[in-house]
Amino acid sequence: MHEMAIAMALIEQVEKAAREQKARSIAGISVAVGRLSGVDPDALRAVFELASEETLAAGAQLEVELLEGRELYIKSMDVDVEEPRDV
Amino acid sequence: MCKDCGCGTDSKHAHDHDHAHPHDHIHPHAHPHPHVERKTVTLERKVLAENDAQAEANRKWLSEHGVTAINLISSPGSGKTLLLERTLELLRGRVSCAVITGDQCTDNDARRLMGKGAPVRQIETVNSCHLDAERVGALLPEVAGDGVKLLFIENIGNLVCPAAFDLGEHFKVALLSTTEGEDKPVKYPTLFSMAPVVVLTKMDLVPHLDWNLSRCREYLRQIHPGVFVFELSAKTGQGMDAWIEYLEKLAR
Repeated sequence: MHEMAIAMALIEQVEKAAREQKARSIAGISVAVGRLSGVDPDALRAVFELASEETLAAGAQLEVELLEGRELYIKSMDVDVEEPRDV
Repeated sequence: MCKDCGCGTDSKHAHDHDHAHPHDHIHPHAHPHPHVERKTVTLERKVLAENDAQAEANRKWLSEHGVTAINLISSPGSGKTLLLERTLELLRGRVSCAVITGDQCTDNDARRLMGKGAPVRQIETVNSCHLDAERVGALLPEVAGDGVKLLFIENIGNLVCPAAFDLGEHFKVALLSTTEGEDKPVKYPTLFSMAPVVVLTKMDLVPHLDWNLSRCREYLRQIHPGVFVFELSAKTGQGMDAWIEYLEKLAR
């Protein structure tokens, strides 16, 4: 069940990118998973919820696009950025 | 526009309905009014980018030190360790070898492989089902630094997970034992599509099994046309010559 390691690597990447964006949380993540990547999308979804607890990605929607090859990459993410303004 | 109420930057609420209170209120206070904006960030990044970067660093290190590294992957019990035992014995004094062997628990494999003239290091992954580039990379200088030509990385017994993690090896070798049946390549296409070399092990048992060599080779070709196949028995020594000759050529 290496999906936990995959989920943790995924979260590490999106958290890093989210901090660069000064985001307060990650609302959604879109990943592409190839049939020959060795990663099971359902298992990934299941462990993602656990692995994302107490991270910026907690509660984020994980959207998985199925492809045919060995692809395993993060397409994009939706982040919530707080922008304080004097109004 | 903010996602909470849909108001625009002019702070007037955009919704449209009838009620008595004045609608275009202004905020008569000085404190910052937090707006949360949702934005989409394009990443197009590999999930395992960090592992891949470490794997590339390992490959570079290996090439600089003249080491060819092979990642051996198979089901548990398909005969990786016995094949390595015999291989180390046959290559002793001819090719300088080293081994990194992974298991969830115990150093049984390392103890089996010691004393055959090759440095051996065991990685106990405990809860993990695969080796990763970082753990392998950390061992390279001590295990493969001293004139080693061939490094065998014996992965955790598992046909699925280890295939996803590049360790920095030059290529993967998949082992398939006759007792597992002929159709493992089509059942587990990820590994068999990636490994340019497949070793069919326990060939000495074929007379006792309903196992068909040509069917097995056909399944392998379906998944990986052009795959290079060895048929051997580490126990009886049958077919070991071709395997050893191949490894000697690799180490040149």
